[in-house]
Order: sequence, then C-alpha cells, then structure tokens
Amino acid sequence: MSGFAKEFKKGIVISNPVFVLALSLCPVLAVTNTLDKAIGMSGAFALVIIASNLIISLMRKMIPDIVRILVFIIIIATFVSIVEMLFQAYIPTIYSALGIYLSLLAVNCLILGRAEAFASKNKVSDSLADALGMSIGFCLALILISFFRELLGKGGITIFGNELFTLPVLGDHPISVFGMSIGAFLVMGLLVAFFKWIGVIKDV
Amino acid sequence: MINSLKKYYPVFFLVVVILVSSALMMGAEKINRAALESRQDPATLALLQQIFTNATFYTYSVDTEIYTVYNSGRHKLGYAVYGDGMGYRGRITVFAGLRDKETIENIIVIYQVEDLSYWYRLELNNFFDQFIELNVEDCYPSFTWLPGGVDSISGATFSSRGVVNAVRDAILDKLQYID
Repeated sequence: MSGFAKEFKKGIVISNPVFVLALSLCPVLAVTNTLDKAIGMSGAFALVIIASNLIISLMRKMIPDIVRILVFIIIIATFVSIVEMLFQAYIPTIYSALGIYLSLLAVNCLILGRAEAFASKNKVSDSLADALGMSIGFCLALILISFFRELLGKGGITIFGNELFTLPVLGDHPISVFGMSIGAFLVMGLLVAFFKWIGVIKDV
Repeated sequence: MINSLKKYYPVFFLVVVILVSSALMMGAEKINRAALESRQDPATLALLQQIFTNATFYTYSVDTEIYTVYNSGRHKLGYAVYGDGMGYRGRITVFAGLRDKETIENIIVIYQVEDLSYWYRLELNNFFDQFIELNVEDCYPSFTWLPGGVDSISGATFSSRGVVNAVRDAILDKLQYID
C-alpha cells in the first residue's frame, strides 16, 4: 500500500479521531444534536485541518523549533477565522447554530496535534492524506452520532429545513435525553461498543 | 554578523507569519463584509437609520429576533426590536432601538390604526421624544403616584399607553440577550 493510501485510511478507521483516539470530544458532544450542525462542523473541521496541515508541511523546514507551537497556533487560528467569516457570509444559519464551537476549532487538540505530530515532520502528500483521512473519520463519527441523536431525540431526521422522515411513535414521544449532552455520550459509547463487537475497531 | 542575524531568525519568522496571517484575515473580512452587505434589506436598513442615524449595516438573529446595528466602521451602535401594544382602536407596532441594556436610543411606530385626531395629539405634543435616551427602567406609563415614567398625552391616553406598552413588549424580554 502506498504511503498516501496508508495515511489516508489510518484516520478513517484505525486511528479514528473520535471513536478510537477519543479526541475533539467537545465539539462532538456539543454539535451532534442535529445533523445540520454536524455537517457544518465537519466541513469547517475539514477545511481547517487540510489547509493547516498543507501549509505547515510546506513550511516545515523553515519553521524555527523554538517558535513552532506559536506558528502552528497562528496558522490554525487564521484558517479558523477565515472559515468563520466565510460561514457567516454564506451559510449564516449554520454559523449561528454552531456558535462558539466554530471559534473553538482554533484550540482543537486534534488539529494542533496533527500539525505537531504529523504535518511538521512529513512531506506534503502524506500530510494531505493524513488531513483528508482525519477529516473523513471525524465527519463520519459526527454524522453517525448526530443521526442517532436526532432520530431518537427528535423522532425524525431534518436536513437544512427539509424533513426527510419522522418515526411513527418516536415522532410524538421523542426520547429527549438524546438531545442532551449525556445522549451524546450514550450514543458514542454504544457506537464504539458496536464497532468493537463487529471488529472494525480493535484497540480502544 | 550572520550568527547574530540567525539569532533573530525566529522573531523575524514569527513577524512574517503574523503579517501574512493578518493580510489573509483582512482579505477574508472584505469578502465577508461584501457578502453580508449584499444581503441587507434596504427597507429594514432605512427603518434602522431612522433610529440610529449612522447605521450602515445590520445583522439579524433568528433565535432572539434582535437586529444588531453597526456604523460604517463596524462599530456596534445598538440593537433594535419589534414590539406590539394595544391602543384605543387596535394594535400598535413599534420598532424600538436600544443603545445598550439600559438606554433606549429612539423608537419609530411601524403600524397603528388610531384615530388621526388622537394620533396628531401625540405628534404635536412631542410624545415620542420622551423615548429618546430614556432609561429602560423608566419605560412605563406614568401615574400620578409614581415618579418617572412616560407621560401620557391628555385626550389620547389609550394611544399613549399603547405605544409605551409596545415599547415594553419589544425590549423587556430581549434585555437578557443584550450586552
């Protein structure tokens, strides 16, 4: 398997940031009560991690060791600010729904962690593969968790104002605990158990 | 010489990164501003300019139903909210501007069906000027046994109180969302 494919696959399953590494749980718990927010957060996360990994990998030989963390934070914060402004301008409903959690991507441990542990030490193609894999892994985790939370907590699925379907009994009597933060923990735990049971995840 | 330059390389590098980052953010802000300004409703902006004369830009929160108003330098001028009250003939709707949590900037009446003769009394007696820079806590119909409040105009008491109640309806629930 080529280096690109190996790094790409790693983030999706073997080192899935949410289900395996249990990183970035703050936005995962906060924004997965609806599918819209999960999609918005996944998009923002992907844009920031891909752009920052690329830039950091490109500049890795120029960045002085003594100021590297400062430089990483400036680069990540810049991309977060840009993404925030673009979201505000072009998808204001998602922007206001995500609220503070969009800005908090600037201090996201996963993004900073990939910058420090991977992008600053590897070539551009591998860093890009790592960022893409991590983005897809994060996105899948958010969408899976939010799907079950919205389904159980609201009794149906609505995407960007379009109601896809409503469950017969749950539609009238949703299990509101799944809309709360504890619901995110429950769904996440059950999904990790399920993936481990079917053998997708090996080490948790 | 080269060694001393090398010593300052991290500082130089950090400064370059900060400058590039600032330039990128300024570019993104320009795009953001252009996109947001293109979405402004001219009719709403015209109403807001009657309350805040320097208003050139606003944002609207669907959740709180509050308009946040800015000047050309994107400095926040205040907030504006709609509210309803009952006059003598029916509903009175006002658009109330708040400078901050404590002070009303000004108000404008958007809708009313009061008798013209009574309404003219409010205008002739400068009733609406009482709301300019009025403390939020003083926004209630004045009574003889209570200090402060907004004086009703005699002969148009119901219309006067309708306007005051509309302003109260607009602002009281929203104060919790205002800085």
